[in-house]
Amino acid sequence: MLRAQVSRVCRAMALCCVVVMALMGLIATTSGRAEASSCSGPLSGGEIRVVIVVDAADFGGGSSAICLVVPTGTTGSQLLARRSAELGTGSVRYGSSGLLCAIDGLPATGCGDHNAGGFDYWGYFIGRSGSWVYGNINPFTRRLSDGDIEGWRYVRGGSGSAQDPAPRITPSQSLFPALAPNLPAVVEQPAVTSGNASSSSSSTAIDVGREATSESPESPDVVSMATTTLEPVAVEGIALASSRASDSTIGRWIAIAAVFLLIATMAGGAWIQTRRSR
Amino acid sequence: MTAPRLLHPGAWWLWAVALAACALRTTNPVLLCLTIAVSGWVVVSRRTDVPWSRSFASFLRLGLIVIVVRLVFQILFGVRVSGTTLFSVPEVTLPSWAAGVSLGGPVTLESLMAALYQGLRLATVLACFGAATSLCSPYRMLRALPTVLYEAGVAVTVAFTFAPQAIVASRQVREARRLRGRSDRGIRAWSASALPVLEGALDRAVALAASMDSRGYGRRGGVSVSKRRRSVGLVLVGLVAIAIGSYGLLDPGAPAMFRIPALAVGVVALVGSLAASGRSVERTRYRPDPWVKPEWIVSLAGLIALASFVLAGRMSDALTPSTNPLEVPAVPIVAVIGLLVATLPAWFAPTPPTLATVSTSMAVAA
Repeated sequence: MLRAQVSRVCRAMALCCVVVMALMGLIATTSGRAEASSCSGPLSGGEIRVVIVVDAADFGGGSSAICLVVPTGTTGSQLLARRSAELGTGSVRYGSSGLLCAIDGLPATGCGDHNAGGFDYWGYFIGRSGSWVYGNINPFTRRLSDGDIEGWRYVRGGSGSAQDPAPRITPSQSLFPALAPNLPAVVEQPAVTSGNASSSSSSTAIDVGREATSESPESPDVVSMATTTLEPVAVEGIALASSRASDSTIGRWIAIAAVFLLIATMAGGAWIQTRRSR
Repeated sequence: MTAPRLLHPGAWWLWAVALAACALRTTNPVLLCLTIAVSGWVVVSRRTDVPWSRSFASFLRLGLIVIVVRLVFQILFGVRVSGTTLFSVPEVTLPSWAAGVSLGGPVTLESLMAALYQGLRLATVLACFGAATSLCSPYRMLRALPTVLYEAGVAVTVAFTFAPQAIVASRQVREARRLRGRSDRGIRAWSASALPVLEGALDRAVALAASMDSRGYGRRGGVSVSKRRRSVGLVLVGLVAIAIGSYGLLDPGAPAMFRIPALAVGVVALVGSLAASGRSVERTRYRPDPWVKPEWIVSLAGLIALASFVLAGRMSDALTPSTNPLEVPAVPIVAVIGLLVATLPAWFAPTPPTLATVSTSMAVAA
């Protein structure tokens, strides 16, 4: 009876190991999508234009707004990843609980830490009719629609509620560049020249300097506009995965295999020991 | 090799709690699996031939259930995180005031791995507890407890004997079912026997506490009512503070106030209670378990493993591998060596006496 029990335990252990290793094997097969389209050029079917505002001025970074063309059904977090890839600012860091820790590598360490009776965290905001609404929504599940404006602000000592300060760039439709046949709500045309919108991916970035972070950024003249032309980048999974799947990964697999060999030896030894004692 | 004898139960508990604390410090699945293997190996090598020594397998099974439940909860109610979507469950859009709660939605590999790591960690803690339960007799542990804990007599007795009694009760219930010609396997048999097992285990533990009480366990002697109340209050405060403090010590995420300060408050309260109750009650112990070299080796092996985990946590962040983005967990060599040190009790602890060795030693003594 004891022997049967122990052999069952051994089998269960082996099964656990196999499941863990199989799931880890899946890590290598993460994949993503690649796309390249222009925010000021004509949209093809199944594409939307959205603006994402990131305000890290409280942390010593800058504020920026960028217009991106993304496929329909893109979520808020996918947009954030897309933005990081376009700007080349490094991937967005998440905690194991799924909490967003860092955008553009800010902050370098920590995740939603306590500070001054509140929390330092990246607040999520949604631009609605010219003002920011605190995003009580999970960015992983929020699906964007055409003309949406998404905002992220690094809040210091925030309470995690709608009282926390919103990004300083006003979410007006003027953040979208010209040439928007699908977007009737464009109020004014920013002075943007985007001539080479043919093959390369062109995105319009609006940067606000650290000194120009007044709390009332109603006037768009404090906003200096710049057009950056980026090479088409393979976004998300593939590029990141390939950069990580280097020599160190192989070394890690070897170490894991060695430890599991040890575990298998122990399980086998335990089984033999109980067999002998009975 | 020393003569067969039972190791001091405190040494086994210290060793097991240290291993559990190791598990609480990490979500690295490789280290967690190794911790389970180490505890299992030691249990197989040094367990006694009594009913509750079978409890390790039961605790492993319980751990498996914990992992499955954790994964199911993640799939149904878990926070949605980005990553590789494996499949989607039907999504329920909740009103805006409940936007923090998600029901259904896309299930990503990243979220499942995070849930698996956490479930595995809990399963490992359960395995360590199972190891302690199957390695030493709960009755001996009860005897070895410090006198201060006698105040909480019934609670302490039930706490230490419930799990082993449940193992014994479940065996008896299963045997009874088999004698009546019913199946003792499967979900139905399990659900039918769950209630009698729990009830039986609690009944036994309470009966044990009552019989110990009637034999003077936790007896106060001629102490005045006000003095007794004061000492009982102090014990309560002390126990709660020690519980919080030891939790704070074992959980690296706890605020600093809950660690050493809480422990210190607890110790002071317990010592104060000893002083308040006076030394009017004198207690003697019949054949106390010795604490000699093997006890030191076993408890030190556990503490070295814990120290190696603390060190590994300081050196790198390999103890908590990232699940978002997903990475292949690194294996911190320091922690692995520490865990291998924790297997030493499998050789250095004295072999427990079997029925045969007990009778020969009695014959020699006679």
